[in-house]
Amino acid sequence: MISLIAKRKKLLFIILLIVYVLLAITAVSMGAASLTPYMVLKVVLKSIPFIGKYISGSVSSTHFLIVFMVRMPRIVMASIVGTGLAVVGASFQSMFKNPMADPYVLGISSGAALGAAAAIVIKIQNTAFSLSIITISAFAGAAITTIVVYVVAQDRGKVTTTNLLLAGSAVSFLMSSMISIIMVFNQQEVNKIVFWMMGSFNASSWENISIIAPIVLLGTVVIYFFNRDLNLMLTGDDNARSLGIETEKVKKIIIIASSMIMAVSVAFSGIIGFVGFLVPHIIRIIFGPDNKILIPFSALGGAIFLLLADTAARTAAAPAELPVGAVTALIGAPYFIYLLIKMKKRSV
Amino acid sequence: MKQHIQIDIKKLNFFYREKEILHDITLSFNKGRFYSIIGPNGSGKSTLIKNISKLLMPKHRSIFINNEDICSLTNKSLAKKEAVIPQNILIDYEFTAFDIVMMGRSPYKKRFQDFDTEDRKIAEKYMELTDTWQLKDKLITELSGGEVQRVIAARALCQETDIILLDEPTSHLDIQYQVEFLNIFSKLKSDKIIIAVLHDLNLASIFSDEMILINKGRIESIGEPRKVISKENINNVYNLSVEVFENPISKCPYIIPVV
Repeated sequence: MISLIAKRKKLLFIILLIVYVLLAITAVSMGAASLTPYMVLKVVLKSIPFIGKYISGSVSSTHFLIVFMVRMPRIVMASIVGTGLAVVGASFQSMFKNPMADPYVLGISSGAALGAAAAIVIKIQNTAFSLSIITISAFAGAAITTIVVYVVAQDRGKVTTTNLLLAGSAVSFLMSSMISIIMVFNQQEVNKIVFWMMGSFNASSWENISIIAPIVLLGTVVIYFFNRDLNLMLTGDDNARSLGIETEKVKKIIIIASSMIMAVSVAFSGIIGFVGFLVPHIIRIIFGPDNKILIPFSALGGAIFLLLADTAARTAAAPAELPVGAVTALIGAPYFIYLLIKMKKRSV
Repeated sequence: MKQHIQIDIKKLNFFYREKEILHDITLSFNKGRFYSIIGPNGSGKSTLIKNISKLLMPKHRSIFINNEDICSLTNKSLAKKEAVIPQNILIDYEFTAFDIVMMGRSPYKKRFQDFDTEDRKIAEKYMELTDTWQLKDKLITELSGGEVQRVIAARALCQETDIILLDEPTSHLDIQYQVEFLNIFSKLKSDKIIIAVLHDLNLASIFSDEMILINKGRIESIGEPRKVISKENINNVYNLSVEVFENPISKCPYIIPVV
């Protein structure tokens, strides 16, 4: 079965893409004001120039507003972040040759959280360039953390993956302890900080998307450029080098591209775990370790997974909203355990 | 067919942190010959071959392939001149044996260029030669140590290089595989330079045209096996008394320790 799937990759990618679009339309239709998926499709098609003329009937401006201004930004945002997390997860797992690696191993989440926590307790309500100060501060925290980790891990122009992982976790602990201290001295803000850290898409807007989308897209394309290099690096850095790969250069480029994706993703949506870890894993189990397949399928798989998780987060206990980071783990962890058990049986 | 090919090492020194590992190594390698580098643990023999393969960065203007300083070559162009077979390769990822062999063609590919039928033919040719073609669809993670090593040999041959560097390639294999493995390269040596770091002196003596005995980062002795494998040399370097006989089949020297 699995080998049959693996042989028809292009077809499967297109099928998955269609599945994604259908899921996205369904997700837009779900919420407090009920719409049918058909109505959503009509609203969307109607607003496309040229094609719109041929769609009969009219759509109410309320529906237009709900679809385009309320629900769609959130769904697009969740998809983009899902793509970014899964692609970074896939590239890190290959680069570190470690299936346990996730997008947060370089400590970027704690850096962003510290930035966000600082902004929350300082209580600046202002916005700059139409972005909230919390977002900007989280981005700065993420960026600074990555640079610090990279500089610490560097040894005479070379970065070993072990050093990166060690520096990442050390810096991560440092940041986390600073967050704890901030929380102890600002107990009235603890809720807000905790909720930020658990991740949410409820502040998504087209402006935010216009910033995050190009960065995630560019980063993904850059990482995909290096798919063969990453494959060779999976067989060991020395092997890769003697097969012609400039491993140090590739690592630098992957880290820069990944950190850009991660910094914007975390800044806008908080810390959403498990996507970047789980999605590439599932894809690898089905298709094998080839990054040429792994990266595009992870991109699509990440979008689908986070779209589903976010839709569950906002509809399962409506009108209350569950933190999306909790939902990803709630769906993801049992499925992953199921996969592990199934794999064990297969290999016996 | 192929033009002249030569490696020259000129006054190579190598330091690891403050410690000198190689001291003033000067020697040349020529086409059509099988060289082995021997010496005790920590003598610098592995460091020497890692300098030649640039896995350790050598001093500028100390190692030349056809008068070209290897330091000025990119990894990619070096990968078309030298193929490296490491000591013990451990691949945890579920690539097929064929995928791994095809990786040997990547130095010839541009970033978006896919492997084509010609690459597949080359891979098949060398997998037949190393007796791994029947393993092509097996996962590398499921193969035995000897099989993995032959797959890696096929990968290295796919690079179609004039120089093949082997860094203790057989140290964890059973005796029949050791011989089989070295035989693959011995048969191909006529238009190549083969350099192998070997542990087993008797095996090295059978396969080598020339041996380089390293001790404490210096060349202790160099030449044909009959010259290098002598009672005095082995006693000096390994601090072990041995008797040297003539191998009745290959006529090369054969040592046994005296206890």
